[in-house]
Amino acid sequence: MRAEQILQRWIAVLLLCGGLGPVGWLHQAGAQTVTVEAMLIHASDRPAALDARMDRVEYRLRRIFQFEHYGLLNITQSAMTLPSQTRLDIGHGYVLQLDASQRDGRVRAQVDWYQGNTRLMSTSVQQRRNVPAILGGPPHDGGTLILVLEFR
Amino acid sequence: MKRERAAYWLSQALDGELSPRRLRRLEKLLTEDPALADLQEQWLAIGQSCRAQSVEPPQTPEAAWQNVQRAIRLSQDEVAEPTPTAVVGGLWRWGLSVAAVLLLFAGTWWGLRPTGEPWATVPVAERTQVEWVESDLPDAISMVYEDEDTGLTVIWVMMDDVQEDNGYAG
Repeated sequence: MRAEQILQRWIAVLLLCGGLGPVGWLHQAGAQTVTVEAMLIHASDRPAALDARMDRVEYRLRRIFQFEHYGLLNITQSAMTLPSQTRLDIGHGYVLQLDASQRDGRVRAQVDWYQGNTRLMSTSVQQRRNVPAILGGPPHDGGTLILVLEFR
Repeated sequence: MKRERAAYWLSQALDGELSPRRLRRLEKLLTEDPALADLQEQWLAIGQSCRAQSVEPPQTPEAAWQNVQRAIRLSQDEVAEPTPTAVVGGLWRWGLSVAAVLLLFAGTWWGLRPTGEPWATVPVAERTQVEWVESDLPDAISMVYEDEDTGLTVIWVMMDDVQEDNGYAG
């Protein structure tokens, strides 16, 4: 009787593992964790303090734009499990809402950039990891805002 | 009296202070008076003796310092006497110095080398694709630009009244 109970428990454990295995595999196949980084930059012709955290992107911005100075306002990072939505407070009253998923080896994200209740920009992008997208244009403090958005 | 004057002139002559006219007269007296000639010889002998036993003048501070410097230089020369061991050690030092300089140059070059990565253009296949873009800002114009130099995609909203000042290079 006791041996029968042990056997029943073993069978239950095996069935449980057999059931959870494919679920875990499916979960791994469909879900991926990425780190999203939003770098808020104030571009203007007024001198701004140099910030080594912008080294990766500043020289690229200088190739694209004609602003004299680029000042780092804030860097925000967050981990996302795709697909999911998240809200990032990127500082200075600006907020990003991200709805991201995985598609064909890229991150497909709808990006809504808010200042208060005003939606400054809404876009849908498909990005490779480690390839930033440059968003920008809203005026800010005598200059222009640039948002470098990157998934890693 | 005449002898005393002659002795005085002799003293002046030995000091080189006698006038030529009196010197001629003294020479005449020396030939005429053997005692005066003896006195001259005695004084000359005393003078030579004094010069022979003369003490060197006291050393000036400058001379003393030069002596110190000379002594230091000489002692360094003695230390730097090239012995076989010193030669080998010198070669080692030279080698290490050259290696250090080369290492410095290599490090500098490595840090400043054009890696290609800073100016690397994002390959076309990896560039960001934009499906759509819009803005709720009044009179805003949306645009998408793919920069050829960097391969980055720019998504821009432009206010109608600040289009002149956007700094956009494209």
